[in-house]
Amino acid sequence: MRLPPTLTLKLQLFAGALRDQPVKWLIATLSISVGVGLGLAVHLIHKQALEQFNNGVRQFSGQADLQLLPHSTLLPESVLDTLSALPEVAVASPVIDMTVAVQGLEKPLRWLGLDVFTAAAVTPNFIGQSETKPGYEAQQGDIPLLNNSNVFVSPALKEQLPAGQNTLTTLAGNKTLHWHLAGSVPAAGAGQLIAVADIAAVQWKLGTLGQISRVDLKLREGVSPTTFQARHGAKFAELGRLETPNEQGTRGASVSQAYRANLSILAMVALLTGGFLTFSTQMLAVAQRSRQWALLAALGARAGSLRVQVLFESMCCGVVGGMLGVAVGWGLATAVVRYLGVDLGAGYFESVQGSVPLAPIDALLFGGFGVVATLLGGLSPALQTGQMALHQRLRAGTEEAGLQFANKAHWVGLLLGLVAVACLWIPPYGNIPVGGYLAVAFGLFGGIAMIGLVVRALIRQPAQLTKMADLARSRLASTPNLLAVGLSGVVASFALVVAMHVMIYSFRFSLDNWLTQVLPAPLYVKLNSATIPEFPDEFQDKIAALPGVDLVEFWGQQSIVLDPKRPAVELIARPISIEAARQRLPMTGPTIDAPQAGTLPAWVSEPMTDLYGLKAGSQLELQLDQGTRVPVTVMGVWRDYTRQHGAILLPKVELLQQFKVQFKDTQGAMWPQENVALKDMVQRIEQGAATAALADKIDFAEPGEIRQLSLDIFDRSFAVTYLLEIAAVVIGLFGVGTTFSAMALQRKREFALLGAMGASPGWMLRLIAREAFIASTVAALVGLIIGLAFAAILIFVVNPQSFHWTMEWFTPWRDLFIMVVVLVAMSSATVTLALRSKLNTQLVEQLKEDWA
Amino acid sequence: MTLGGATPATLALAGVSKTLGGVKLFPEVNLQLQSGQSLAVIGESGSGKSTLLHLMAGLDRADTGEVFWAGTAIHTLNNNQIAAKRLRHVGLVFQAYYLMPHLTAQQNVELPFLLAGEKPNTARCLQLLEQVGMAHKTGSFPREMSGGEQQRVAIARALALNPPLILADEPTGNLDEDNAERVLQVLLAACSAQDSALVMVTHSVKAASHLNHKLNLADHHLTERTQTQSNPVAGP
Repeated sequence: MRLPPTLTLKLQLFAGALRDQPVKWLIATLSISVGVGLGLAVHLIHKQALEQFNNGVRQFSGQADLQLLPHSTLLPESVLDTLSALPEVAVASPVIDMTVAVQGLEKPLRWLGLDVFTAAAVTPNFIGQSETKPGYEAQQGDIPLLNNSNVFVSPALKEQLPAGQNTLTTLAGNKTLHWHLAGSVPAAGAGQLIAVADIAAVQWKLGTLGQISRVDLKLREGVSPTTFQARHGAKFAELGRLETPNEQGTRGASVSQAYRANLSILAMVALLTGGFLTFSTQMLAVAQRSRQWALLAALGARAGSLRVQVLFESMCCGVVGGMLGVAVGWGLATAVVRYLGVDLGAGYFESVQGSVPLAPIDALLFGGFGVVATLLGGLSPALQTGQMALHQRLRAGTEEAGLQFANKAHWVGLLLGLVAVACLWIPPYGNIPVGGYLAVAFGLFGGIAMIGLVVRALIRQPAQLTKMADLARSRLASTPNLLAVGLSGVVASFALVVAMHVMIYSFRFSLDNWLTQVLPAPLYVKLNSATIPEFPDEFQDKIAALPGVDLVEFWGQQSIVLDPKRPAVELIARPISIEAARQRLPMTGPTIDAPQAGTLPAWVSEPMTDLYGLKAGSQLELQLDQGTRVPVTVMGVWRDYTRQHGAILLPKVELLQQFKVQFKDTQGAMWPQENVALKDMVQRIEQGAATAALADKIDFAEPGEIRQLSLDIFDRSFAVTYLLEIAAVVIGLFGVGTTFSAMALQRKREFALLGAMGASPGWMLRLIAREAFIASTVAALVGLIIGLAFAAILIFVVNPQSFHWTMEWFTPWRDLFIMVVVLVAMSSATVTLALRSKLNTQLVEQLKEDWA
Repeated sequence: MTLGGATPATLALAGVSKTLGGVKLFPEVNLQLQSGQSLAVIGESGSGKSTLLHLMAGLDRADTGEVFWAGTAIHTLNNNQIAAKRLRHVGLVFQAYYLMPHLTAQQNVELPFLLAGEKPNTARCLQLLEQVGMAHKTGSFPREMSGGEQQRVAIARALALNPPLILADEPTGNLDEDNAERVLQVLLAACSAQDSALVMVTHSVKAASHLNHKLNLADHHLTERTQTQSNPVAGP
């Protein structure tokens, strides 16, 4: 097949460019593929996670049009009669949905109790199918689905059980219950671990008589769920909320939205770095090929076609990088889902294995990002092509002259910087800090445009040459724009690495400080068994009365949905006074002294301010189960790094006294008397636990251990970020290495002359290393300044808007110093290594070439 | 290895030959050049005269024979040793001037001092620039000079460390007649002033006429153009 002549010429010219700088093009392409791959992987993994979450919601909701869900834990069973009596309701199906500890299984199991008669109309997928098992003798008239000893398990659960196992043993407190494995739930979704039994059996055996988890509603034909919600929502508001399955899906998506957005930002970092590397490669190539362009123009090529050529070459880089990135992203997503689970270890979603489908639209979209990044990178060089007069371009030595336009680039940089600052006032869209991200993007472009100015300010032409360093400085000062373009890639990647690192460091330091403040007690206890729901009152009294105990506090928490579109908020009830709260809670703003009459004092965490508009002095009515309403006054706002979707702290004693509400206490803190050793205290509590049938059911932890565990979890969850930081630095280093190598190779006649005059290859390498040292120091300093500015945006804008918590600024001076030193040293080393062999080539051959 | 007696020749070639693309550019060359002597190698483009100069400069390696600088056989040295030796012994002048575009005239002349790891001798550099008639342009960059001016700065640079041997490759090849004459006079005067030996390759018989000795390189044969009492060529 013959290619059109124009395409043939384009490919020939591009082949020439590739031959000139193969490594630079390779690095730019790889960088694009990393960005595309990472972005696509994050997208596919989360898409898969949400798909599974929504599938779960859909499956568990079956064909329900609406569901009545409790505010916090359970609904009274009596609500079923009220709902069934409504004329719009075709079927009201009660469901018990709980987690139960099962012997032999590591994690608690999701256990459903269904009314088989009504469930057949709403959630037929969860109706069990009985299988005849050896050793099981059916009684006359026995209906397996209604037998209160029978349980049906999903295929995924069945696979986990030992072959031939006929029973499941559940553990509740000290009670063990045996269930007969009567069959399976074949239609349960792939990977779902569930057990289904008759609702009455579950209520009776697992202690929820008279209570249910939710009611699935099938409405009569023609009745819209929205109309039903509007008509009856208020009627059931005291007990719970009426929701469509879709609303739950939205809530599921919002759980991980901020985390997802932040990972996507990391992908953007890689893409931007790739874009800047493309820009740098193309800009230098355009400048270096200035005479080639001039010759083509002299032969009759139009300026437009030369610009198209530059964009064509950029696009080729983007297409290859994009395709490679799509392959990498898909592979990465598949591997992560298989080996780590869909939440990347963040703990938002249950790990459900499965393959990761790649939709063509996703491949096109993310591959397209790669092309867009390279086209943007090539845009400015393309516009510059053909700007100079022909006779100027035909003369040798026009690289720097071809970049004269960059003398004014700092004004554009200043303008972009102002735009970036203005973007900080753009409000977030949902949990996505649009303004913050735009500020980072504009700031990055603005900062890059200022490099030339900084180079001109920092590297001055020396008046006199007294040492080798002067020669290096003199060379760099003569080509500030060439240098600025060459450094743009590494400045971009280094700035983003610095920003991420300062943000993570500040976050970690803030978390550490916060942990110190919120863990004032010397000893903490926690129930470690799903079979024990709470610390019994008598046990709490016994611990409080132990000799050597100064103070003891137990607390419990339960979740409450304040807004159906948002994830549940945690309610914590612990013994606390207004004065103690002021001292012990990490308050972030003003507090008030007394609650409004008739209300309980409450302290809300930072997300409650952003998400629900609460602040000191706000009034709120909490709708708890069984129709209990608790009016509260917000006394202040405290920092909480553990509950991203919000928490409300209530005084436990007052809650019980005034509203007869008591949460299940699952955690406690102890303050032993000064003369009592902690290990003695632990021993006494363990003795008390043994007599209260709580032996081995309690975990003890000292604040140091909790702190270390929390910081370990923090480090694990940011492991991906650390890896990406390293990747960005490596990409940046390759960028600076290849840029300098390319720039130095363009000067091979200059080095040949130095060699002819008597400079040894070692001397020239040292000269280049010095130039690389000076230039990379400038790049590191510029990158550091831009990075610190970005860190401020991440800390004070992006994080509060994404996660709704604030943090303090801490500067990791030592780390930054090391990063700068490593960057400068590695750049110098990379350049030296890249050029070592090239400088040994025959001097004569190099001298024969035209002096440029 | 040292040639000659107590005072070794500034430049000596013993049986030097070079083959390129299967063609022997010239037969084995034997010559000795003492300080203060000058030699022109005349030939057309492609005759191999520049190759011969590159061999003399240690920029290229001979296929046979040996090159000596003040008695030192440079083929026994490695590249770094040759470079260090060349810095002190040889001053090079090229047809295309080869000035550092980012350095001023004075800084270009100071460059050899930096290469030698020494603090530039500013007084000597200014004196050399004055000697070549460029005292008025010490702060100018190459782009601000004419071709003749650039070549005069290149000559000053070649003389900066007072090398005993100056090798010039078509130093007037890019210049008009008047400038060529002026540059040549500057070169000869400068070499004479410091008693340096000079080898110049050129295609111009007129330029060559100013030098003591002349060799003609044509059709792969090296012949003497004139006979003098102290003929440097011995053989083939």
